[in-house]
Amino acid sequence: MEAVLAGIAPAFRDHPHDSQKVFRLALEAMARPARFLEADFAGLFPAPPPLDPAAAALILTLCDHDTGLYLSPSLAGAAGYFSFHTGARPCHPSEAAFAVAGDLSEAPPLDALGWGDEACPDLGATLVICCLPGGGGAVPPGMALRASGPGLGTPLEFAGHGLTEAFVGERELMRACYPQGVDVFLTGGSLICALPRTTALERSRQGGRGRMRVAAKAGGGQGGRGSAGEHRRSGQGGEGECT
Amino acid sequence: MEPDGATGLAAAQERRRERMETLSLSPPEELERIASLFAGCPEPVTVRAAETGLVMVRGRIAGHGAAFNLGEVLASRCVVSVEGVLGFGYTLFPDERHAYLAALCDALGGHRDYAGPVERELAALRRRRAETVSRDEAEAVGTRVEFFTMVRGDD
Amino acid sequence: MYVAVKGGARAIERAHGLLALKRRGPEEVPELGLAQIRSQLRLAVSRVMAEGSLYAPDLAALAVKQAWGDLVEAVFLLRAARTSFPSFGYSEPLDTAAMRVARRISGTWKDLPGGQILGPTFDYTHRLLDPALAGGGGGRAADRGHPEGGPGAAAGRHAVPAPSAGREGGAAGSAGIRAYPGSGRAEPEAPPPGAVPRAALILEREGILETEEDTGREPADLTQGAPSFPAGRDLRLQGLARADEGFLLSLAYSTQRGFGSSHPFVADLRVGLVKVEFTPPELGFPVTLGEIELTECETVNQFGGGSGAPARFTRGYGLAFGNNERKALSMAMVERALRSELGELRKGPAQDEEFVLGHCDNVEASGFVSHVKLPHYVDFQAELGLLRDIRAAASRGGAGGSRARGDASGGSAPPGPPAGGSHPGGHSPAKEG
Repeated sequence: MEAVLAGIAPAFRDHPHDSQKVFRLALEAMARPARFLEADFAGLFPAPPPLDPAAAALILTLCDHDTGLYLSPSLAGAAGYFSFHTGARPCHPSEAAFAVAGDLSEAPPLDALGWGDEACPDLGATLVICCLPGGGGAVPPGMALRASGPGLGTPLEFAGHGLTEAFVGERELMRACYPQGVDVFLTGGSLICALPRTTALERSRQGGRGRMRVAAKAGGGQGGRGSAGEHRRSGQGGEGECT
Repeated sequence: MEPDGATGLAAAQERRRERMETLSLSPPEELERIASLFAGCPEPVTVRAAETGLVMVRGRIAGHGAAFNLGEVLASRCVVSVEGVLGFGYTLFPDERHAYLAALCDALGGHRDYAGPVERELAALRRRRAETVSRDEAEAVGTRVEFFTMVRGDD
Repeated sequence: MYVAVKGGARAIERAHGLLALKRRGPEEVPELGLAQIRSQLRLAVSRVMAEGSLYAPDLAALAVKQAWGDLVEAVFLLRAARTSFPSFGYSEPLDTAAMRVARRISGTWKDLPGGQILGPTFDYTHRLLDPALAGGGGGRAADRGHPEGGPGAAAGRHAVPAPSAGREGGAAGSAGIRAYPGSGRAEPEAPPPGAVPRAALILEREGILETEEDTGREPADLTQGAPSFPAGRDLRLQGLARADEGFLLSLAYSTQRGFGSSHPFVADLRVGLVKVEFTPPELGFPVTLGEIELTECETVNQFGGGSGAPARFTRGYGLAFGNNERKALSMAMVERALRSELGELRKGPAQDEEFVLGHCDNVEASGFVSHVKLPHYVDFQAELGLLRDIRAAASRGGAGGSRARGDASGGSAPPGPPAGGSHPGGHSPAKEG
């Protein structure tokens, strides 16, 4: 047990407020797919966790003793940390409610995760991939993609950082089974982006690299309780740009 | 793992278990008093903030058979660290202060600079508890009865 | 079909305000404090914890106060509060043999290890209302020196005499039978301190009472999903532990009056404090959380024999939060009645698992029973319209006379106004709120 004890480190400074802020961000990301939201996730932790702060914040917020959690091999060391704080038990991808992958190459294939069933499609897994810039790993150039579907009034040019053709193809196959499926978060440092199962991704007809546009920037970020994660909604259709 | 290491670990676990039991069974006021005695110790770091939750209590059929879920009890828990020494507080009822104080005292009890004084305080708490147990028992035993069966005369 | 009804927010607000006002009552009457409820209405708090399935005395006391004394409403409040907490996990199974007993009696043996300890009980009171209790609001009321065994002489009210060496009052007569039945052994003089072993051990050692097997299987948990039938003994016990005491009491009574076949004896009934142990995942060994008050009852019942096994006693088991004797006893009797695996003839509803477990939860029962008082205006209008149509059709279909109208309702409808005079009415949607 001493080994387990050695891995214990603090999580959110102010759990009720911090987790609510993260939840609100996750909700916003899902409601506005393929947009990049920025927040000072690292500022929520007294000591930054060994893995991507945005991904850690999501898991600490969304997991509890009822959710099975799968961590890809490079993140397996954090299992004790998440169990200690959330009660989530480590499990195989097929049983996981949440799966976290250090990058896309470590992520389980979509059909290895649970997609829910006809009666309860909402039981499909949520996959978190730490592949955005700021996540610490090597960042391949973003694929030029076009996203469309619910939450996207008009199709959106989307920079698919860390994504591959194969992944896009897997998602397309999965979408045929809607409403069952898997929802995806892309994270990296201070950024999160959601690709719910309803979002269609296809190769963009525009050539060249995708440009990453930050849809909403969280206010403050100077550390301290009140500022981290504070979220301002940008105006309709207005988007800040960040290359 | 060498035998000494294993024994050392088991002994440390047992000491922690005993500390935690004493702290859980003692009234929070006593823990406040002890904490104030050690007010000069290094600032404890909160590792997992005090929180209240449910523990599903299990009974056994006829007290010795298969287990069954009886119902839930509210409990509080907290984990702190004093200069890297972890302390765990697990107490009954939604009293997060009690859990925090228990965790603090457990950490101090495992810290080489404070273990001795803490153990003396805990010994006093155990004596107090033993007095309470005796008093309760005396109260109950005072109502012990021996029934006498009436033998019906056959004349 | 459920239809949403809007409106009445102001009336509802005022109703809540009025409730708070009436509940508080006249200002000159002191307000109830939770500490008072918790200790002076201890048995009400116990009941609310048992049926609320949540051991939290302060919250239960608050629920009793907030519910204006309605215990079923208080149970509802406690169940609702419970949903707001996260779950830490499951405790280690309780060791009730290590209970610090406040009360322990047996109906099967007069003398047994640990003795018979009456504790604070109503059993021997004469059930006469005690005017001495009518005063209140101050500190401890002066003792009024009741005659022994008279009203108000419940053991808790008098200073407890220092215990003599294990015997109480009266002549240390030799007329009392001191040995265990059939064993020839004399009672040990004084039991070791604190240990009150289970009375049923005596029978188990002789092999004439069934022993319970611990299969080590993870018990079912009905808070994690609806129970399915047939239910195992673990699920029955969990359901009965949170069941309405009145319902269980009546069912238990029914088993004694011919609607069941068991003739129970109480081998062991005890009330006291038991330690709760829990293994934190990060530590990996059990730690003591504290002590809770429990009531445990073990009954011994006759087995009807059969299926090749030697005849032996069977048991019923009841366990409840708090000081809840009637509940634990009823639970043990009903638990025994539900043991269909013993293959007994079914004589009454107490033996019907689906009947008992499906209707014993008073929050569920109250919810559905009470819901009929909520607006069903549109549904009712539909029924009214349907009935009038039937009557109109019947009167048209008959030979024109008022007599023929009886057909639609099976011939018992009284002659009414001629068909033309009745209003088809009621079809305009009711104006709600």
